[in-house]
Amino acid sequence: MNTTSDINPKPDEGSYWPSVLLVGGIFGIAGFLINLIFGYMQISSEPTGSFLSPMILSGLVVCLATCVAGLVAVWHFTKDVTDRIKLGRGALIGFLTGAFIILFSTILNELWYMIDPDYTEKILESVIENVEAMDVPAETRDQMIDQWAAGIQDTTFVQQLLFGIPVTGLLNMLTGMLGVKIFGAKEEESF
Amino acid sequence: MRYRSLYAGILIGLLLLVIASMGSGIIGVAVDYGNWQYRMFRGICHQMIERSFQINGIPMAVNTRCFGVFTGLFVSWLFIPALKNRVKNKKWPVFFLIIVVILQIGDYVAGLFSVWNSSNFSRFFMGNLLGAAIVCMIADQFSAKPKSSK
Repeated sequence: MNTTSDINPKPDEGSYWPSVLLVGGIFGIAGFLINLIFGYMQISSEPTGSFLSPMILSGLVVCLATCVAGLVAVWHFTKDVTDRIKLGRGALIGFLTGAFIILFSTILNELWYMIDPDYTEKILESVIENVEAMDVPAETRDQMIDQWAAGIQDTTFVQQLLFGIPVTGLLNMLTGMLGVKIFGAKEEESF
Repeated sequence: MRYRSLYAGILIGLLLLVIASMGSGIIGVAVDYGNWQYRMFRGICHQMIERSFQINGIPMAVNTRCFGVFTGLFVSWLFIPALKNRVKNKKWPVFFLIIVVILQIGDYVAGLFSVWNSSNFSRFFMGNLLGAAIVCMIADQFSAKPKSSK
């Protein structure tokens, strides 16, 4: 038989892990797939010299999606567990969701490199062809090529986590807190 | 003020975020796009050189819009102690955030279709507004009076 506390848990009761793992998993997989789809679009595209290449567009989409994951995880928690959620817990849910997005997408990236070992090289070649077709000063063009080449250079699994989690985690902490404000139990409001 | 430790922790985090996003130019080190600052932000920013500010001739690790968001978050976060009671139980932060998000989308789409060419400074300013709007939404959560339960 359910007790009152089972039905309406107190603040900070109830596990947040299902929300973190579910939302982190979905956004991690979605981010990986978007990057992969846009990556192959980049490889198969002709160099146009446009700034907005498929890789740039995928970065924008993934960035926006990744940063709202904390908000979505808190929304899931308030629907699934309780809407009585403290700010600190929202921040924690956001941070962990961001960390798991990086973890899941990094694992999937590593697995994909086993399936298609030339993937990054093909992307780099395509991006360099596009940059070379751009109407920019030669110095800027060289800088952009250096930047892409450095971006695609080998990074270990642990390095990817160390570089990725702090920024994504912090931004998702903020959206997690935003989630507490939007989806948590509310007080009366006025304009 | 509630959640002082959380407030302080995020303040430090945002300060480090702003410093790291400035890239290696801030310490006068020659640009190396493989270094940690540039790698940290690679997943969330396109890092286009043409759309980045430069320090000592070295492009920042993020573009102007992202840098605007980070500085907007950090500067607004500093004002939370003064802001928290002013936004409490008010609806205007919600409208402010909605308007700013619409402006961001409009600015981006207009740029995409060459209707309007935003400059680095306008993108930085738009980013600032977004950072500030997010903090305005959160600020009342630090207010001393606990939230009433349902």
